[in-house]
Amino acid sequence: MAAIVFDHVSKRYGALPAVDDLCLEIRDKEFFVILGPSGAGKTTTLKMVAGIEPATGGTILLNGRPINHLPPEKRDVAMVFESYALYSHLTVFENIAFPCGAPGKSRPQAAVEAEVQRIAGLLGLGELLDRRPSQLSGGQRQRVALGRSLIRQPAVFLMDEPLSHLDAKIRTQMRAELKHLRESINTTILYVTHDYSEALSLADRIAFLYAGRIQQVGTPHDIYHRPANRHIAESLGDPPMNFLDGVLWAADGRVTLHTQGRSLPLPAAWAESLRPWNGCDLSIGIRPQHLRLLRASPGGEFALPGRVFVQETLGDDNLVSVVPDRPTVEQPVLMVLTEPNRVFPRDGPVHFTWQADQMHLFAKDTGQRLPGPA
Amino acid sequence: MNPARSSQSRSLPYLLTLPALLALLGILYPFFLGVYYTFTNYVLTDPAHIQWVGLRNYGVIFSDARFWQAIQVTFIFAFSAVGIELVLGLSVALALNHSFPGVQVLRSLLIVPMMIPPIVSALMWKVILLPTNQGVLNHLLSLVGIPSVAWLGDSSSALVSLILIDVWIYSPFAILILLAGLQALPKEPYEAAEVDGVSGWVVFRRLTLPMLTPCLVLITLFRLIDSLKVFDVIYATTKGGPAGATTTLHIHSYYEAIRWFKMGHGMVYLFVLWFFCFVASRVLIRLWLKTMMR
Amino acid sequence: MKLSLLRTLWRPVLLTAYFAFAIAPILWVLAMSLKNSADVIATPPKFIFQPTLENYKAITVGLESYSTEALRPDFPRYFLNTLIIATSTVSVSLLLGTFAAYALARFSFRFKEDIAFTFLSFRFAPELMVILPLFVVFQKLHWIDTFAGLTVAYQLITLPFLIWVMRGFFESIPLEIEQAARVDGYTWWGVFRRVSLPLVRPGIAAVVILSFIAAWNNFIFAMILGGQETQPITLGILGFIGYERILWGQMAAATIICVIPELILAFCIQKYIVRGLTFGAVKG
Repeated sequence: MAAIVFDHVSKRYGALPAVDDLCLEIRDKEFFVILGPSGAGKTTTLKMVAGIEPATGGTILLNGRPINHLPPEKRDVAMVFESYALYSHLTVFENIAFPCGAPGKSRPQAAVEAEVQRIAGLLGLGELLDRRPSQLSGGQRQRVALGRSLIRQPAVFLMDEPLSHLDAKIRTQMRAELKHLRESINTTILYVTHDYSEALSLADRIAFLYAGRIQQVGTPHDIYHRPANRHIAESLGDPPMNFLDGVLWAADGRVTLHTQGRSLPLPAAWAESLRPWNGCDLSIGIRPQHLRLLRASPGGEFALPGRVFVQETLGDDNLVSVVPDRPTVEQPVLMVLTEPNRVFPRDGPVHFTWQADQMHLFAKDTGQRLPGPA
Repeated sequence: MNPARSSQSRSLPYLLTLPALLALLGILYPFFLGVYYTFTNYVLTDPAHIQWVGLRNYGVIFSDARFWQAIQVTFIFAFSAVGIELVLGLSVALALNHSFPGVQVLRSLLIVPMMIPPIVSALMWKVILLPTNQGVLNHLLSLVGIPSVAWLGDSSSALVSLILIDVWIYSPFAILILLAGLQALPKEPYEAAEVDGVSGWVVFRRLTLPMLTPCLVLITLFRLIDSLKVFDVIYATTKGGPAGATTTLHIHSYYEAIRWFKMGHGMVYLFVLWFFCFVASRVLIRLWLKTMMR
Repeated sequence: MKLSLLRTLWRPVLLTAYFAFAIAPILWVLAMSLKNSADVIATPPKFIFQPTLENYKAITVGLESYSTEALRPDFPRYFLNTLIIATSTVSVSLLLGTFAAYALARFSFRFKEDIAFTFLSFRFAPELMVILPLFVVFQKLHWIDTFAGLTVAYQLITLPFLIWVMRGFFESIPLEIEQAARVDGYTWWGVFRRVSLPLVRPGIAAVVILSFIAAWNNFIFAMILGGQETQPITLGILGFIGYERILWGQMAAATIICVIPELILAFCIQKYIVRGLTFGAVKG
């Protein structure tokens, strides 16, 4: 049975929908990530599951039971807040033990102490049990917040961007620790973040949320390699995907892509599925690592001309910005990740090309992905 | 921002505020009763024969010269006291907004005049302001050749003396708030002004003063209204005399109602005073909110 | 050159002048309280004198004889009365006001700001406007000169203030902490008791002390609604000014004794004074 079900859930603040007709099923024991930019409605969704925000429409089910009408204390969920929300007047020990004193859930003192010690050990907090939150670093506070939720052994863990306020180095470390911890927890986790690398690393499945609506649900592989729309494609990857304007011609069993004044014939196998888009304006998406730079003229091979804007050597990465023949306002330069040790002088002429099966085609007006590229 | 809205939590805030609300509604009732009394001929010695007289009390009082004198005294006192407290308060706050040895001690001493019951402070000053050179102030003045003044006994100096007492008690209020305001001021504009070579006076006028406006308005809000309705200080010293020189609306209402038992008349004085206070509070609170938004 | 002299001198000159002005009267009263009955009325006033504790003894133990029993100020009783009135007033205000403040801070409900503003408006109303009709009401209820009656009336002094300042303190607790406690399994009452209240404890202490001082210092309520049984110090001290003679020395001693507890309490909560006096408007 699904652990959490969102059945046409919506949340409005006045006339503004923060979450709009959300339908989602999260499987038991799944690590499910909701990914999206700030303001997309991720935290609101989480708070609705916790009961801190009431849903204005739809039903939320936890293990098959509707929980909309239940106050937070009766819902059997644990939440790790973005700001950690630690009890500043209590020690670390008391913070972690706090849920054990709740009415109806009290356990004998010895059992509580043993459990707190176990969790503290698991999270590396053993030495810090007597400290107050104000005496802890960001990473330590985050672990206390985690510990406080672990002691509950709830049906579902809710995590609201728990790593976003940590330094980059600690964040990477904590992300690995979280993934490692996941095995011991073995409970459904609903995790929200705006950081795509967290999502790709930790999730079993990802839902991409934008402006209160789900844009795509799938495995990290699906989301990264087959983004359902241009917006998702743009959000995943650093440097982000490049986009070129183009027009599709599909007729008589042949498909051609016209862009930047050149024509790129596409595999005949795609002709059938792409025929409905004959004559459509497209956005052609290519990742920086999939663009190839050719110094000399390509000869018979398809390639587009351009001029080198600047080259940045970032350690092992070689990032070249190329101005295409017909730059647009949205994409004045193309970013290309190329092999190290190649040198591209500024303003030098260059050609760039890519493999047809590595590009992503999106309709220019709707941003929707076109079928075809595998 | 609410916890999940169950039927219990919908009524909860009302339940929580209810006792306090009831207590204060218990105070609103006398207020409206008082307004009612302004339209009656209620006399405390004869409570049974209370009759509605409409606006007659208002007519009688508005044509009484003492009423207008009381308004004059009330306003002169209030605006003078507030004006002096603002200027003095700002000066002393600026002086204290500096670290030098002993500044913390001085700041702690500030609260002393405010903590003493005003009536006790007024009695204290009554002693100091005794006429002839029995009073220590007169004695000190005589040492530099200034003749004694009957501070509280002379109608030309009585109000000034009371303003002096009010300033003594309440200027720490202005000082403390302005000090807090000064210490909360951002450093960057001042550093920029220093780099730009702007002089001290201009910095004060163009930077400090505008940024302190919310504090100044707040002080005015509390002090203006409190001095409009001052009572203890006057009662302890002059009781409104000599010859009405220090009789404010509040003091006069006391006499009308308690000494001469004319409750109806007394409440009219109070209602007029309440009206001034109410208008002042609305205007000043709105002004404060506006200056805070900037 | 003259300007730089002014610049360095203005601060010490102003501060010396002001603090002399502010503290001298209190020192003078202290001196008066230590003068014997002859010195205290000496003309011109004496700066050098032989200090004595007879005034303090007189008002606490009552050694001096008086022409009439009625004129004898009963200082210890006044002190006790003031203590009773202030303590019971503040206790009641605390009980009623803390809950109201929490409701105003955390919940949104209809008429919320209207209710809040009504609480605030009492701060700005002339006291007699309410006290005089209250006098009539109290007469009918036989509440004149009772501690219960005064406690009820004194709520007008302490309750609005307590509610507004406590509201500010509750609002400064991050909402997420209370939300976390709800998710951890506590009802609103559990959260209030175990999280909200402990976090505002220093605020409560400050507000309690300031309310206590406000009730202690009040004169006008006690004058109209009080009487022989409940007379606090602020009224009792006027008793030293009799028709036959004025007991300056004892009045001074009474002043000093009256003021000392307040000053001690005030020094304890210095940090919060500005916040309290401005009803929470200035954080100080």
